[in-house]
Amino acid sequence: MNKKNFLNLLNEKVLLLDGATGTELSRKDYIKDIAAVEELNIKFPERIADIYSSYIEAGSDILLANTFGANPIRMKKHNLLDKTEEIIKNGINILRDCAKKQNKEIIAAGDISSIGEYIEPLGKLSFDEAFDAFSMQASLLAKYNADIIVIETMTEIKELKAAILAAKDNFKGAIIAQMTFSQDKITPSGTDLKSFIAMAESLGADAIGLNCSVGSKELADMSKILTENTNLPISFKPNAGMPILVNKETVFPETVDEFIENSLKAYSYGVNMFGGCCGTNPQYIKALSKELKNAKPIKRKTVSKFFLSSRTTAYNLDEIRKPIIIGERINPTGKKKFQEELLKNRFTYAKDAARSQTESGANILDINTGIAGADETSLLVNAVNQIQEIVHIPLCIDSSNPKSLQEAVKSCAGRPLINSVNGEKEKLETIMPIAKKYGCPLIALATDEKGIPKTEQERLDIAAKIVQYADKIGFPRKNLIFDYLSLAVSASVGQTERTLNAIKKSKQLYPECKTVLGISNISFGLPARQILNSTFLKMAVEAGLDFAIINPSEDWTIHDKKAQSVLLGKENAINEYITAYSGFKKQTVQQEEENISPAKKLYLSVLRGDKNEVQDIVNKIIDEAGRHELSRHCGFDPQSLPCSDIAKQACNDSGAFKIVNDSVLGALNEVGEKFAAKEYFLPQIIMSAEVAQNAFAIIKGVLKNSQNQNVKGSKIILATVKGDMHDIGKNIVGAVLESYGFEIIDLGVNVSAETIIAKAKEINPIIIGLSALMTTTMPEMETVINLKKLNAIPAKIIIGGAAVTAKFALEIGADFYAKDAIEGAKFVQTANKNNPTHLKKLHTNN
Amino acid sequence: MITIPHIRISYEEVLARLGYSKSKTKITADIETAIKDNIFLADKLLKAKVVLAYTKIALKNDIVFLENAFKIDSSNIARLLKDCFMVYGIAITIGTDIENKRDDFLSKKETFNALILDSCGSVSAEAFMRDAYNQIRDIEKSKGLTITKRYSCGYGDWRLESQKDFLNWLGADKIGINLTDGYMMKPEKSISALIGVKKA
Repeated sequence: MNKKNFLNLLNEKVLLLDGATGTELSRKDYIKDIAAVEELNIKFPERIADIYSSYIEAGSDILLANTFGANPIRMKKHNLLDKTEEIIKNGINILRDCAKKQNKEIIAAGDISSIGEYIEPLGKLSFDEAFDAFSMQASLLAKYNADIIVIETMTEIKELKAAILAAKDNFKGAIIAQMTFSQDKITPSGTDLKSFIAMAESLGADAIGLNCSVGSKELADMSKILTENTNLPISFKPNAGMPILVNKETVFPETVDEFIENSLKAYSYGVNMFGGCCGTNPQYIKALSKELKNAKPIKRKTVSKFFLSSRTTAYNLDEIRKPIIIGERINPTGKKKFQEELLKNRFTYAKDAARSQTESGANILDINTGIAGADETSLLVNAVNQIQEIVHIPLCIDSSNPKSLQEAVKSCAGRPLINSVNGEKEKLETIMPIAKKYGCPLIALATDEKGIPKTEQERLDIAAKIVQYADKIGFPRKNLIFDYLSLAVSASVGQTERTLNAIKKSKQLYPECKTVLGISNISFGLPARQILNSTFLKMAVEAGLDFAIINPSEDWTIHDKKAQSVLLGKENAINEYITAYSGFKKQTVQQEEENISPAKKLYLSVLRGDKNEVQDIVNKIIDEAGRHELSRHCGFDPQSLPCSDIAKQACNDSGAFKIVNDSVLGALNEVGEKFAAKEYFLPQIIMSAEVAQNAFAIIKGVLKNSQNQNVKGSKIILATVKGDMHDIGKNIVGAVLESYGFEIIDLGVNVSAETIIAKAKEINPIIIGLSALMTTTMPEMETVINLKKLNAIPAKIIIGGAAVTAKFALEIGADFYAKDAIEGAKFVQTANKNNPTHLKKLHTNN
Repeated sequence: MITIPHIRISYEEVLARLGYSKSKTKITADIETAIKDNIFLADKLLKAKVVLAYTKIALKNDIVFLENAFKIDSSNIARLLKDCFMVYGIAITIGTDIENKRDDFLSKKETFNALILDSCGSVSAEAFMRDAYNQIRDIEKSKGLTITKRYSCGYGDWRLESQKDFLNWLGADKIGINLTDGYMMKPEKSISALIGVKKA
C-alpha cells in the first residue's frame, strides 16, 4: 500500500491497530527457548502467528510485525545479527499468511523501536550509529514490502529523530511515529508532548501517536493535547492500565469497559487509529472493533502552529509577543575569553551565556562557534550537546559552513532554527536542502554573490529568488525567515528606512514568511549604542519584524527622539546625536585588576575548584621559571624568546614543578581544613582535587623528559576487595590522592587478595588502600593483610568504607582506618615522609 | 495497587547526602550550577520500576514463616513483625542508566560529575521507596490497618544471604534486579524491603 492510499484510507475511516504482543506471548508461555522475541519469527513462527491470527480475527486493520528490536545493534547483542534479514522477512510474511488464511485484507506494518541505549550525551551511542542501525532495519522492511512503518515505544527524542530520518531515507510508505509518556505527560528523558509534535512533524512523519507506559485514561488526556496541536492523523495504543508486578504476576488494572470508555473519549477528540499495548489482548480489540470499526473519523479543527523546541519544551512562536528574542551572545566575534575557551574545546562561557540569556528573557539561543584555527563542526556539535542539556529554550544553529550546520542540527534534541542561507546559488543549493531534511525554519539573508544590496527592491529581488528556490525543492515558505539587513546608520544615511520598507513589503508579498534582524549592527560607530539599538528595535517591530537577534540582558525599553531622527535619516540628526551623547558611558561593572602572581592564582584555582584558567596559569609558571633560570645562567635577555623555548629551558630545572607543587599542596591543605570545619563538603573536595590533578598533569606533561625524580609520585594501590562491587568511594579517595601528586594504581572492584599482593610485589607501593562497603565483604580485608605479611611486603595498609571502623582496622591489623578521603590523604602524606611517630599519633586519634 | 511516581530529584537532598551543612558549608555559584547540571541529567536517566508481593505469615521461635514462600530466621524481623498477620515484600530500582553514565564519568576521570550522579541515584531510589512505602501505608490505612517500618536484608541479624530467597519470592528479576555472588543487588540503585501489616 502506498503512502497516498494509506492517508486516504485514514481520511475515510478509523483504523484499528493490534493489541499487545509481548504480554500475550508471555501469557501464552511462548517466550522460551529463544534469545530474543524477534527470533520467534524464524524459530517458532507458529507462536507469533497464533497471536497475530487472534488480532486479525478480533478486527485489527493494521498489524505490527514482530520486528520491534530487529535492528543490528540489538540483534548483535543476542547473537542474531546474521539472522536479521530473515527475521524481518518472516516477520512481514507471517502477517500476510495469517491474513490470507482468514481471507482478510490487512495493513502490514514494519515495527521499529528503541535500540536500548541512549544517544550521546545521555548515553554512549552516537547519532550516526543509531541512524545506521535504523536505516538497515527500515531498508529491510522496505525490501520485504511492509505497507507502513510504525516507530513505537520511543522514550528519547534524539532516538526518535534518528529513527524517523532513517525511515524517511529508506522507506517510501507512510511512517507513524509514536512515543511513550509517563503520567505527568513527559518522557523519562524530559520531553513534553508538544516537543514530540514539533520534532515528528518537522521531520515529516505522516502520523503521530502514543503507546505504552500508562493506561487509557491518561493516554486519552494526552491524545487531546495532540489533537489540539497538530493536523496529522493520530494513533492511540494504551496499556490496560499501569502495570505492576504483584506476587510474580504482572497486573494490568484496567478492565475492557474502562479501556473502551477512554478510547471512545479519544475518538471524540479526533484520534484516527486505535489499538492496545501491554496488558491488552484480543478481547480489547474485539470490543474496540464493535465500537469503532469503520467509524468515520471525527473532523478536527485545523490548527496552525509554528513550533520550535528544545529537548524538554516546545514553543509556538505565533503565541509569543513580538519580537521573538534570539539571544546573540554565544558568538566568539569580539569575545576574547570565549575564543580562548573554544580553542581549548571548553564551553564554560557559552553555558554561562546560555543560562543568563535564558534568565533575561531570550526565546531562542543563537549558537555560533566560528573561529580561525579550530574545527567549527566539532565545536558546534559539542556546544549544542552541552547547552541543550542545561536550558529549556530552543536553539538557533549559526554557521555558514553547511557541514557544521548539518552535524549540529543532527545533534539537536529539539527543532532548532538555522542561521543562515542567502541568495547565493551555491549556498541555496547546499543549505536549504539541509533545512528541508531536518524540517528546520531557516533564516535567509537578503544578500547574494553581488554582496550587500543597497536598495530595498534589490533585497526583495533576492528574497524572490530564495522563495522561488524554496518552492522548487518543496521547502515550505512558512519556514523562511528573511533578514533584510540592518547596516550601520553612521555609514549609510537612509538605509534604515530601506530595511524597514523591505520588511513591510515582504509581509505583503510573502505573508507566510517571517522576518528577522540583527539589531546592534545599526549603531556601529556611534556613541550610546543601546539608545539607538533599542529605538531601532521598536521601529522595526512596528514595521512588522518578527524576530530580533539581540543581547536580552540590555535595556530594550529605551525610545529616544534623537535616535529616531538619526534612524529616519533626518538632516544633521547624526551630528546632534553625537553632540548629545558623546560623553555617554555605558555602565559597566569595573572588574578589579587582580595583580597577583601565577603561583597565587594557581593556589586560588585549586582552593575554589576552578578549572578554567589552570592550563594558562601553569604555562605561565613554567614560562616565568624558565626565564628566571635563563637570566641566572645564560646571561642573555630571556624576554626575547618565545614562550615554548622558555618552557624547554624550564624542563631542565625543578623550579616550575616546585612552584606548582607548593601551590597545589598548600591549597589542598586549606581545602582539607575547610572540609574539617564543614565549610567545604565532599563535592568541593573533588572539584579541588580535579583542578590539582589537571595542574600536575600539565606540569608533568611538560617535564616528562626531565631527570627530576620529584616529578614522579610515590605509588599507591587501590582496590575494592573481593565480593564487593562498590566503586565510587574508592575513586573519590583515588582522585584526592592523585591530586597530591601520588601515582594511583586502581585495580578496580571485586579484586582478590592474590591479585592485590601480586601487584604490590611488582610495583612496591608505599600504600595499599582497600575499600569495602558491606559487612559481608569486610573480612576479605584481613585476608589481604595476612597475605601481605606472608609476602613481607613493606607497604602500609589503609582501609575504608561505609561499614568499616577504626576498631575493625585495629582488629585485623590494618595500619590505618580513614573515615574519608581527606583523612586518607593526610595519612598517606605522612607515610610518604616515613615519619613513624606522626603516623602513630594519627592512628591513635582515630 | 501502588503506582510508579515520577520522581524529581531534590537538590537539597543531594546536598544533604554529600555532607552539606546548612549553617557552615559555603558553595560558589559555579559549584551549585555544576551540581544542578548533574541533577538535570540524572532526572532524564531515571527509569523507576517496582515489584511487590504479599502473603500471610506465622511466627515461631524467632522464625518468620511466609506462607507459600520462605522463612526468615531473625530475631530482629520476628520482633518487627510481632502482632503482624501479613507482610509486603517490595523491591524498587531506578535502572542502570545512571550508574552507566556515572561509570562513564569515572572512566574519563570526571570524579565530580560521577559523585553527584551517584548521589542523585541514591537520593532518587530512596525517594521512590519512600513514595511506595507511603502508598502501601495509605492502602492499609484505608482498610483500618497499620504497617511497620521497612526492614532490609543485611541489617541486624537478617542475613544478607536471605536476599536470594527474598528477591526470588518477589520475582525481582522481572524488573531487572539480580544478585551478584556477594548478594549485592544489580542495578546498584535498587532497594528491597519487608513491611509488616497489623491491626491499627
